Amino acid sequence: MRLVTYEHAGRVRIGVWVNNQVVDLSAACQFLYPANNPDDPGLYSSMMKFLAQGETGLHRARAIIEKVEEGVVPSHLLFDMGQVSLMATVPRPGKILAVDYNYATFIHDACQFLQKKGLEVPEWGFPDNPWIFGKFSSTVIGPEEPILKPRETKALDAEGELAVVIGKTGRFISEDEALLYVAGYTLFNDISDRDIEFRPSPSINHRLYTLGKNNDTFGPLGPCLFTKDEFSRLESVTIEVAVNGTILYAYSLSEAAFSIPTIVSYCSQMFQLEPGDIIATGSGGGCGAFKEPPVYLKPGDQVEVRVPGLPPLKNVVQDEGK
Amino acid sequence: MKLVSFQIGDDIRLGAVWQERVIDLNLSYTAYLTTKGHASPASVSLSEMPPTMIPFLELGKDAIERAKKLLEVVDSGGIFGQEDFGKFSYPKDAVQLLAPVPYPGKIIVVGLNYPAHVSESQVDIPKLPWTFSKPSSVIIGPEHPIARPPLTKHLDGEVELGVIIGARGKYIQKEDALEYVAGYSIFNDVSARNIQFEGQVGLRCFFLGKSFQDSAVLGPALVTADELSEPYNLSMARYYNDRLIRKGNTKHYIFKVEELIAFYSRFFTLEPGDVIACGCPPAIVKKKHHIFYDKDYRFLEPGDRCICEVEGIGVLENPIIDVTESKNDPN
Repeated sequence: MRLVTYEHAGRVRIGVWVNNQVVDLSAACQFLYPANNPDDPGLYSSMMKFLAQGETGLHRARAIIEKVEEGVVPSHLLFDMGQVSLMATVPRPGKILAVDYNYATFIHDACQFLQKKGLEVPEWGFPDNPWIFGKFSSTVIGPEEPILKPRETKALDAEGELAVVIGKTGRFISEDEALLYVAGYTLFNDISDRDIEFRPSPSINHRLYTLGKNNDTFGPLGPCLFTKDEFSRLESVTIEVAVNGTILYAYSLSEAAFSIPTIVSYCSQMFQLEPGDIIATGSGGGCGAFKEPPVYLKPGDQVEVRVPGLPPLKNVVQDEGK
Repeated sequence: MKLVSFQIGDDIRLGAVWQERVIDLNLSYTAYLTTKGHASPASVSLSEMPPTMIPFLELGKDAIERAKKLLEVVDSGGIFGQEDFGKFSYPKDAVQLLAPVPYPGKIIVVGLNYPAHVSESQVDIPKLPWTFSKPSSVIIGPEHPIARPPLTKHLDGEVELGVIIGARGKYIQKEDALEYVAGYSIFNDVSARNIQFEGQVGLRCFFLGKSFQDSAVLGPALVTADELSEPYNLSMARYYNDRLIRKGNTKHYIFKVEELIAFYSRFFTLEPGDVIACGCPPAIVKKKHHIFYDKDYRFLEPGDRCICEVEGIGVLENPIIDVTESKNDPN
C-alpha cells in the first residue's frame, strides 16, 4: 500500500495512492463509515497523526483500497495525479536521523575523495555501531519541489537512500521487535555540499558535515510511504540514483553493514522514536562527487532516487537565486 | 521582559513573568480588550497575542512591544480586579515551565567557541564555527529530568548562551544580525562524552553523543533582546549540586552572536523560534589529560542536580535520573 501526503485546493491532506489515483483518506472514511463514525477527522489531517493510530488507520486504508477496486467509491473522492500536488511523505518530521558509512563502497569512495582533496585520510573500517548524523526537519521538500543550489555551493551531490518511517512510539527497542515500530519505507535524497561536508574545522574529528547536509531543500522525501508489504525481501532491493534519466550509481541494500532492525534498535537506545520520525539508512558508493572527474548537480538537472518497479522520488535542481 | 512557555493541563501556553507570577499573555490581552469595550476581544487577541511562543515570535517586535505595554497596564493595576486576576495569571510555582520554545524548528549548536575550552579539548582554534545539530524533539525545559542513557556513564552538562531567533532571514548581514534576535536564554548542551569521543579517527560520533533524548535544555525564560542589547559581558557558570564545574564569560566567545547569525543564514533560512547555542566555557579543574580521560573529572550522576547560570537571564536547573529501560509494548 502507498500512502501520500498531498495538497489539493490549498489544503494538505493524506491519501491512498491506488491505480494512479489518490483517494482522500478522510473523505473516504466518512463515506465508508457514515453512521456514528467514531473517528476524529483530525486523525487524517497529517501523516504523523494517521500513523500514530497504528493498525487501525492502516486497516481502514486497506479497506478503502478494496472499495476503490470494487468501484464503489464515488468519483468525487478520487483525484487523478494531475489534480493534486504530492508533498513530502512526512512534511515536517519530528526528527531525521541519517546513517552514514553504512556501505563498504561508500567508505572506500569517501577515503579516495579525501585523498584527492589533500585531506588527511583515516584508516576507516566500518564503524562499531551505526554512525548517525542529523538533518533538520526544515531541509525536507516533497517530490514536486526544486532542490535549490546555494549560491556558494560548487559541489552539490545526491545520495539516494531508503528511509524508515517510524509508526509507533518506542525506546529501547530490541532488534527482534524493531520492525513492529516501522510503518513503512520511503525514498530519501540526502543532498550534500561536498566542499563543506568533509572540511575539517578545526580537526579531522570536527568536520563540518552538519553544515554540508542541512541547507534548505537538502532533504527530498517521497514520493509516498510504501508499507512493509510492498517489499517481499528488503535485502534484494536495489536503489538507483539517476540524473537526467541516466543511472549515476546503484547499489543493493544487501551490501549494508547494519541492517534496518539494528539501526532502529540502536537509534532507540538514544532517542525516543515517534510516529513520523525518519531514519535514512545510508548510501552506497558511486555518488557524483566520487566519479573521476566528479559529476556535481547543476541547475536544470533532474535527479531521481528510485527502486525498480516503484514510483521514483524526482526533483529538479534550481539556482537559489539572489 | 521574561517570556516563558508553560503547561497547564494539556495546554501549552505563552506567558510573561510578572513579579512572582506567570501571566497568560493571550488571556490577559483578551481581558484587556474587553475592558476597552472591544467587540470581539478573543479573536483579536488570538491574532495579536497568539497563545503560543512561535506564532507570537512570528509577529516580530510589534508583538513584543504589545506584550510589554500589557505588562505596564498590569503593573498599574489598571485592568484587572483581584478576582479576575487568578483566571489569567498563576503563581510561578503552580505552573510547569517548559523550554521557552517548546519545539524549535532548528537547534544549532556551536562547539569549540571559547578559547579555553578549545585548548582543554586539545585542538586548534576553528576557522569556521564547528557546528552540530540537535533534533527539535530532544528539547526539555527547567526541572525536567535529564535521563542518562544506558550507553553512557560520562554525562556532562555545558552552560551556554542560547540565542532565540525572532525573524525569518537568509543571507543576513552581520551588521543587521542582532535585529533578528528575539531574545536570549540559557542552553545546557548535555553531552555523552564516551559516545562523542569514541570511534575511529574522523568518524567520532559527535551527533549521537550530543543529540540524544533530553540533551537540549533551554530556559528558564526568554529574556527579550532589549534587556540584553549587548550579550557580551555575561558571566556563565555550571554546577553539579553546589559544586562549580565550569565558568566563563560570554565576552570570550570566538564567534560572536552576529557572526554566527550571518554565517548560519548562508546555509539555512533562520526562522522565529530557532535556537543557536553559542558554546560552553571550560571546566575549572586543572586537567592533565583530555577531559574524557581525566579520572578526576566528575561526570553527572543520577541524583545530581545540574545547574546552569547566566548573568541577566537566570538559573536553569535539572535533576539527573537513570533512564529505566521500561519494556515497550510493540502491539
